[in-house]
Amino acid sequence: MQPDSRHFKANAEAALREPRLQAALKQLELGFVAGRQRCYEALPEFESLRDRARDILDHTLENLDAYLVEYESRVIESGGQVHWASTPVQAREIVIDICRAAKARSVIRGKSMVGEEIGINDALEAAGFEVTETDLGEYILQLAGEPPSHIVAPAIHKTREEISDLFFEHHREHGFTQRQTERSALVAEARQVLREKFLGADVGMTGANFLIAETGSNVIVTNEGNGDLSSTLPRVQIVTAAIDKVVPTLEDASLLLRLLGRSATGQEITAYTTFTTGPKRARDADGPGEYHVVLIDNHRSEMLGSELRPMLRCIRCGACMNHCPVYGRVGGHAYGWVYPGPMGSVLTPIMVGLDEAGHLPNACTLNGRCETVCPVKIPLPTLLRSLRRRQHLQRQNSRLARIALSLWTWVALRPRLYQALTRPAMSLLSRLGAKSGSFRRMLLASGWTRVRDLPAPQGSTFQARWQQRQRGRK
Amino acid sequence: MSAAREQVLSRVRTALGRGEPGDAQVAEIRARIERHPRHIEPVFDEPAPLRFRQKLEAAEASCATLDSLAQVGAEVERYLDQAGVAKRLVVSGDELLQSIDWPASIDVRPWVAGSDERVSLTSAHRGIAETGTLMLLSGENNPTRLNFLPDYHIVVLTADQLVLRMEDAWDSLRSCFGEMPRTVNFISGPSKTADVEQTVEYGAHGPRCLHVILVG
Repeated sequence: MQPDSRHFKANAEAALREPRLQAALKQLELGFVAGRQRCYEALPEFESLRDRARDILDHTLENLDAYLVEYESRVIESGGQVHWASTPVQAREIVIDICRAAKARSVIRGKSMVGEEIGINDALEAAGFEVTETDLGEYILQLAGEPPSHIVAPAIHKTREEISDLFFEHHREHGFTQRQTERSALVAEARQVLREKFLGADVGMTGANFLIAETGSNVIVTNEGNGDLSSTLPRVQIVTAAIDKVVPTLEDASLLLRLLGRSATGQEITAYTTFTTGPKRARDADGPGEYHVVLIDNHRSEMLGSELRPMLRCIRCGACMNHCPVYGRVGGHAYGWVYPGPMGSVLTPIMVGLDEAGHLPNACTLNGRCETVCPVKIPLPTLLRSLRRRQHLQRQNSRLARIALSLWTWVALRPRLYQALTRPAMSLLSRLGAKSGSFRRMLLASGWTRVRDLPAPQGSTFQARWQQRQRGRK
Repeated sequence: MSAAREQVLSRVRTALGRGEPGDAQVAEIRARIERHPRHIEPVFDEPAPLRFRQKLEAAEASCATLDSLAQVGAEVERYLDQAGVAKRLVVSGDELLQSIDWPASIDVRPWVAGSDERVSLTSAHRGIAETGTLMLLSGENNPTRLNFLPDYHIVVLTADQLVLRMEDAWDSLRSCFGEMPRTVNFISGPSKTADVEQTVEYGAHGPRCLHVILVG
């Protein structure tokens, strides 16, 4: 998809005025956030699992080339094929070549964020293949012609009425002439339409939650079972996966699975967790005859060599966005590309460019909730700050911001001057705002006061109070 | 070897500040894989069968406990009656299931390609108590589609197949087979979705109902 992150501010403002989106986002707090909290309280080992998960993934990243080569060898031994892609363009070409060589007509897809990242649907359709998303949320969005707005619950912004309309419009050709409005009827209708697609598809595409170096397996975590049908029924399976998905062993994956469901949807385990290894064996009753894995870099090796390396631990649970006060108000589409929320604000500038996505690292209050809930302890606020620093060094922030920062730096490096300026200023503001306790307007602070009041200072500066306190102790 | 492969690996190595991994490094990671160390495993006090059943039922699967395999036929009939579906059953070729005595009132057929797959009966390799999870393996007698295409999926498991955790199930797989089957399905309840208004509906793509019969 074409990135639209440069319009974050306008998109966010529009989102704030969208009542249906606001209602859906409120639901997130009651569902995913409360669910994760219940799981957290029920598992005394949660914190130690997070530490261990971080250590396992750091070890894997430190040896990433070696683990990727091990993984590749195991896939080949099990009869599968491994393809490598540096860029989304290469990845798309590989997938299209496989589909052409297999003389395929129709492709079904299980939900995959890296598939979105490389824009595989548009590319396959342009190459003449019929593509059907099978995750219910992704299917709804395919009918609507929209990108996902959440990495776990892609159609979170869609209301039941909108889904009714979409199905009524698109399912007539499948013989469904009634407009269904009940949730169960909508799910049942999609099941019937998609069942036909499953049974008729030539190629099944999935992503991977993990790749296992020990066995050459890919792991898929779902509740619907669509990824499993996509891996089982068609005669060709293609797995698209980023290079940071590899973990050493089945035990390592088991530990991460304990964190994934709990952090994502508040489930100890999802309905289906499936490990797939190579194509159908000679004596197997079913399964695809061909098994391909496309390993995609797309700037991940660059992140590996920078201070952003911890981002590669991400297991795509979505907890950071569920707990983000900014995501919680503006939703996923405002971020303008595939990955929204805190993790998206780190990934998008790297994958589509800091000039395009420069707003995202700044659309953050650095409150730290994302880091607190991250199952693999990614220091997201630190990474966002480091992107802001890159912006400043590359002179990509506004001229005004650069001048103000330089000025502030100059003053802050001179403590006496700093105190001489701030003490009277705070005292003056405190007296001016004493009556109402806040300001509705202030010179040079309209960016703040346009949408909210500015609280008045309490009288003296923090430094002055601190000195007073220290003196009091002696 | 493709150019892209070399490019990706060389970028990874540059990022890690070194060249190709040396023999010692490769030996070290292979040794770690060989050891496949276990990590922190959550502690629980309930006996395995109780925990297994509680977790399954919490995920909206149903569970029956029987004393012997001889009672399975009657239990399946009771279940189908209660569900109100036609008594037609497609059974996987697993050995355990071949010794079941079926009442004449149930139309039981072995699975072949093209079978009516509305109700399926399969076995499982292991049951995992920690999460109430079934571990099913693909193979000559076990088509994976029987775990996903039916509306009703019935699974027979004997008590001695219960283990405490996923890691125990891996150990069992390693010692029984020595290699990964093509497909390992961990199933912890019926198929569901919350993609319409973040509210759970059952039977998204896979079975609407999962019934587990625990024997012994």
